[in-house]
Amino acid sequence: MRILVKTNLIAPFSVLGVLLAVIFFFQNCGQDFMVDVGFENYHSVGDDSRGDDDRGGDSGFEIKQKPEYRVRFGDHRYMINVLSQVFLPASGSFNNNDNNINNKIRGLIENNLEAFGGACQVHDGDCPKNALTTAVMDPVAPSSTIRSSLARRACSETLDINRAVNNALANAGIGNINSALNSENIIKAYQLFYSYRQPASDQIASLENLASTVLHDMESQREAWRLVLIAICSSSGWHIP
Amino acid sequence: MHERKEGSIVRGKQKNRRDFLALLSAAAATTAINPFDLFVKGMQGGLFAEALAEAAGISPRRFVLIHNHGAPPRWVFDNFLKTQNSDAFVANTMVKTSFSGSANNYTNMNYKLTEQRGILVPHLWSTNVPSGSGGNKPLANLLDNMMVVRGIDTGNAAHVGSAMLVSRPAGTDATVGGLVADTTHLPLPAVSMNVSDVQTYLSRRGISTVDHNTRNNSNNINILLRPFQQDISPSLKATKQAFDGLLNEAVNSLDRSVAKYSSGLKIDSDNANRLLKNGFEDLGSSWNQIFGKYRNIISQALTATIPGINDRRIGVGQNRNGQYRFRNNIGNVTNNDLRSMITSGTSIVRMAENFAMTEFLLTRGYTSFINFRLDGQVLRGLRVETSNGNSTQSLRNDQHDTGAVVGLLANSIFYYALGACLLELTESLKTVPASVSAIPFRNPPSQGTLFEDTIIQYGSEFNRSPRQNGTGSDHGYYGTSFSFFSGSIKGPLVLGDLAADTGHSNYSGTWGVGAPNPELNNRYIGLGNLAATQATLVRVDNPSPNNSSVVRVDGNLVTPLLRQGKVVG
Repeated sequence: MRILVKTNLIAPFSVLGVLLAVIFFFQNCGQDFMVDVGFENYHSVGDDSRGDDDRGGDSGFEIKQKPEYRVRFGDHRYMINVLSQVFLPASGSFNNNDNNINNKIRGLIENNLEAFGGACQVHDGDCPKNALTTAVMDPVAPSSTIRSSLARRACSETLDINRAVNNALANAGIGNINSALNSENIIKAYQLFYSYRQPASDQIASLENLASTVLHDMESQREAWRLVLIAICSSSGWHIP
Repeated sequence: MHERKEGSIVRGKQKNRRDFLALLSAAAATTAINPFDLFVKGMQGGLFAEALAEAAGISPRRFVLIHNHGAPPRWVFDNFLKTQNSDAFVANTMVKTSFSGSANNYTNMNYKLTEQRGILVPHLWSTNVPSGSGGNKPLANLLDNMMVVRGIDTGNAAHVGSAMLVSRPAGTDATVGGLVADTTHLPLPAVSMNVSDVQTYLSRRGISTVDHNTRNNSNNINILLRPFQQDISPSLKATKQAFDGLLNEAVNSLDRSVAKYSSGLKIDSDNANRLLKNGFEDLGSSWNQIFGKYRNIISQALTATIPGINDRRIGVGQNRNGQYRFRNNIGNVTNNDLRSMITSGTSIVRMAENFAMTEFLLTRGYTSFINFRLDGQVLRGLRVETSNGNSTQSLRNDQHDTGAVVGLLANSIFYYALGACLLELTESLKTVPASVSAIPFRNPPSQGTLFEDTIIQYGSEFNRSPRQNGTGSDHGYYGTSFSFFSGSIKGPLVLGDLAADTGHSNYSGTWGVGAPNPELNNRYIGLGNLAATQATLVRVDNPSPNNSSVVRVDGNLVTPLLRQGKVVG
């Protein structure tokens, strides 16, 4: 029995070694490694002395993850800033649709501060109910399924409003929904979320493929742009500032 | 030995992780294919994590960790002491399991055992408990799939300190729950409920746990899943559905380097996407059905007549000494019949909610690791009469100054309810295949029932050291035990030898202190052994590699590596 176990383990571990070697070898070689990510040594396991009757914030959940090292994701203010700059008018007053967009973004992000982290101001009323100090929020909320879900929802639910598509295209310098869905404009859309970065050619190709297929099947420039923007917005890389 | 998944369906295409591994190996060896591209494609397809898991021989079971913080006495329930007639046993005034006395009045207590499934267990195991399907079922049914590991010394007398050590012993780089989350295919890998101040969850791959604060009488399922309930127009929903493949391909292409910085982020994003697309059943009716079931069980348990416990008057004619103490600042209970402490206002807080959440998340295939903490009070809303007057009180788990008589009654009712809930949960898991998954994107990791594929662990940060004078119990961290329930356990198994007498003047007698075990080179069972045992049971890496498990797992069968425990001395 023991021999069988050992035999079964040797081959997978040699393959694991190859896998790790591949990761190590290519860790600095990607075409599109976009960001310099700051890691910090996170000393874990705090004792927040929560009593039996504490019930947490409005949303009813918290995200807990205590790895030794972790990526610094954008906090709730960062997420709101990015989404607002993309989907709200760069200048001028808001119309009703802009207000809806603003409410959607803030509703999904600000109402779920636990998922996104970042300091909150008690006197501004933007902290969860159990927050007692401005330092109570984890400044570096970890990745979580809930955070990803809320961010994806913010993308889809915002872009469900036509005005958000129009605003995004205007903010990108593309123009309007009648603008061509070519690589030049798709790069501009990409750079709404990934400022100063250049997408790889295959990434542009996948977005162009999506756009052309929607255009072909639905004959709608608006829907094609909507899905391209949803794809870019739903990607995770821009969560890392 | 480990069950292996035969293939994975990714974007409608049948792939196989072995093929992926083989292809990757070939690519690395020949460079005929750019290994980076291959790596990226594997990552995009979700195969990388699976490949790593398979390379390590991992296919985890679900793991439910029930933590009863405050450490209530467990002699009436699962702190099994004398399990064989040949076992030595030295009595302690606090260590009692049943009342005794005349035909109408209980005036004494004894350590009464019942023989069930070939071993001696506390009297409570001879009773029938309320069932979710109506009627009653023998509590002893739980023994069929139960294992007790006992005689553990946590080395830490503090509640929080010991609680953290039992879930993450010193020196481990991850918790067993975190390792389960690391390798699961389910969309909410880990959920913790009410464990904030004793949270030790740690994943090697940065997989998060959702820390949910269970709310009384609220639809906790809806609260937990609200972030995944998307609000978009039917037309956008249809459009996204129509172009789902291309949309995913574009997102995956954009995200391909994200995993370099955080594999957890990519996995979380994929899981979120699947949950958003999949939608949910009617969570209102689901919650009402499951929560209602556990609420009824507990309600029945609180009003049940339990033989040997509350089927006769308790205390009449007995001197109200320290054995009737409720708490140190309340004094002796003077209720003429101690049973009058239990009223229609008596409750067990959050037990129904936590069990309902656990059953839902497991049987719907959402979660692989669930850690929940029971209330800090055994019973709330007790009517307590004392020489200073009457009041409504809660009896806390940490029963330093709760006398033997009060404790025997209250704890027996609490464990009667807990046992009923545990039995109900296990019965529910037996009806669901292990392949259950909330998101239909991969093949199941195991065969058989969900109960065979689940390990439920119940315990506290430590057990209690009983005062020989019967006035209460203290922190028995050197006599800690845990109970495990699973369809893969053919019980009852009781592992770990105990000392018949501690030799301690205040805490003498048999109450759970360990003794050297011959199979462990005459060592006591330690926290490292506990972590290794958990890891073996759930089929993940041993996070405490210098320590051995007290079981091995052959396929779907847990085999003990220690003989049935004895009380020696």
